[in-house]
Amino acid sequence: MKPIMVVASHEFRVNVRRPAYIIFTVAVPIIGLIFLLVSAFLGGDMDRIFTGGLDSDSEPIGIVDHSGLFDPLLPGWDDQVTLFADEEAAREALRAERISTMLIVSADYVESGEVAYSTNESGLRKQVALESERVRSLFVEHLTRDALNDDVRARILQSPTYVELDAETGAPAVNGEGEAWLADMMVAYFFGILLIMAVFTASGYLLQGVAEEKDSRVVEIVMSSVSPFELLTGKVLGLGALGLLQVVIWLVAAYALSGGAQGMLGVSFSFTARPEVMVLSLVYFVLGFGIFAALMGAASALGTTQQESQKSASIFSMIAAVPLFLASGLMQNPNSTLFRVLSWFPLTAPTTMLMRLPMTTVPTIDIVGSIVLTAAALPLALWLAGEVFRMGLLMYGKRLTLPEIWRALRNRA
Amino acid sequence: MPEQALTVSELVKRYDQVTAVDHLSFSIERGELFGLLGPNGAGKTSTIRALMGIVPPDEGTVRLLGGAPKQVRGRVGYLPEERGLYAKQRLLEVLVFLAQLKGLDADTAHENAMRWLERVDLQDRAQDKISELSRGMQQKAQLVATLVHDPDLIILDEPFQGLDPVNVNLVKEILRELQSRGKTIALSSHQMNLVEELCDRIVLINHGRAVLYGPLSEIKRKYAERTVRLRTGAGTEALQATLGGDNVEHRNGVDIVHLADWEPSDLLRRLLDAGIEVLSYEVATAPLQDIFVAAVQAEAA
Repeated sequence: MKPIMVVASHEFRVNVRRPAYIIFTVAVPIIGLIFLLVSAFLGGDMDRIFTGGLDSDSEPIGIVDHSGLFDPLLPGWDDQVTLFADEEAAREALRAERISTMLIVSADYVESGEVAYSTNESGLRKQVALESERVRSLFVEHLTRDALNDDVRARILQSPTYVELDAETGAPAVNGEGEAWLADMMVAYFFGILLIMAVFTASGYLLQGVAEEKDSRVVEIVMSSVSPFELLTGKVLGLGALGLLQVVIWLVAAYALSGGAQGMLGVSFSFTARPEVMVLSLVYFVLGFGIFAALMGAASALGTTQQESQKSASIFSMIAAVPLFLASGLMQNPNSTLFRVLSWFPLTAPTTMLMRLPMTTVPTIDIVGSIVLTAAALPLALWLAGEVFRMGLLMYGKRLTLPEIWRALRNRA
Repeated sequence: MPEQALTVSELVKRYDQVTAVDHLSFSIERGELFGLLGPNGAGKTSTIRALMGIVPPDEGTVRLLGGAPKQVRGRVGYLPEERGLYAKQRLLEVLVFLAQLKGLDADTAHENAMRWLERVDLQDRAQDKISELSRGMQQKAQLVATLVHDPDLIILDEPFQGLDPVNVNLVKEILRELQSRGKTIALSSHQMNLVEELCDRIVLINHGRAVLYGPLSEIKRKYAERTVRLRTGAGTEALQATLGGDNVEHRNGVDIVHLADWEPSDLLRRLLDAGIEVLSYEVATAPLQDIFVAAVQAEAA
């Protein structure tokens, strides 16, 4: 274990200081910040993007009521809505920013539905202000105040509360609650994308590092001290930690930058997901990362140049991303035969299961089977990759062919 | 019987249809400075890689310091012919890393690295990046990387490559010091004069097989032309008169006597019996360079 940790620590220390790594790690949050500022500037909402986001329900509105439906206002609305006698008074209040939006309800509103308006809001907030839950409630409550009792009116104003029951047993389904399901799905995507990002980041450094080691011939000295398995495992661990550090920095930066609702979305959801989904996601993340990074390491030793190695490595990146390409089908039927098969295949199991878990009740056999198979495949992948790594690293200026690899592995086995 | 530091028995290494090492056997005694020689493509690198456990042998066995190569990695130092260090990293950092890979803790690795850097006069460059060092300095750094963990068995492939005469002397000194401390050294080099100077025994590999193997002095005698180099007070003509005109020639101020059927001691007796004053008397041996070429050409024929 000691040589593995020595290699891992060396890889981490050396690569974390690379200017390219530091620049890339810092650049992503800076680009995010610039994007946020430009978006806010173009929408005319630079001040609010940091304070209130798109929430306009707290802004006072004014009504000029020609229909008589809103006069007098129902109790509870006085502090949010001001009733004006004429348009001029309302416009004066709008100019003085005592209200953010004025609504002019026509005399034949019931027949025509026409409401004229003026607002200080702009961009996306203008639309949100008019179509908010608060404005809808204001109209529904005042239109129905003489026709319905309070309970019926309250029910109309609220969406139904859905409780999902299992199709066969009739018992409450595990993920029957809407918001939790959405949160779980976000976590699944979060981990899926994190896995791909970490694989790409680590593989990039693996490729670069191995190309440098081959080029400088230092690899022969290293391989006289550690086995290919130890060398590759150390590199996978060290560079994996490096990739994860980068992703964590980006996530923290995203959280810090997210004064608006969008920024909050991804982060806050990760705290509301079901614990078993979180734990299993972590398990699949670790297994998947280990397998893909090992295979990337093998690919990195195959080529005579970094570009050649990159081509070989891209095959594994594509395989890792297959379940993401099939996401729409997976959402419709996550327990279909196709996705069950993908869940058992070690190269697609991690990403498939990361996406399936929150969307449905995955059969226990699929979870156990995919974890066992993927976990069993991990040391095998590291051994195979180590052997290919050894062969590839000692061949200077010559590319290994698949028959050569096959013959060598057969002899070793 | 002397204790063996390294034993190779019937080693075979094949790459596809090519047999790089073909039933090679030899051994190196503890404390010995041994020459591992051969022309390019003879199978030396494959042999050394098998010794280091970098490639597995197809047949035969390799024992180092009483164990399998992988069991004794921490006690073996290896300087490959195809070599280099991490160009963008600092010298000391690289040396400490390589020493840690051999099992040293960070403090000991740091201490050893600094001691060796002082020995090769690179202590002031410890914090420089490898790429900032001259070629000669990099060669010395490579040697330090091989020795930093204080190995008992040291395998050096072309250690004098890229060194000026001053540094060649420094490396020779270091090798002798190591030998005097009981370290075993296998030296592979194409600089035959240095091998001749340093090694006690050699193996000459060609086409993966041992062509010559044994004490260097014996090999040199075996390949010698059976001549004696003489300086006498009598002159060449007197010698020719005594020994026969065809047996004596004068070359570069020295008389060369071809021994024909005589033993060297017989010749000396005849000279003394003839009253010829002998100023210097040297039984000729062949230079290793010539032996190397002759052995390789004989194989090819």
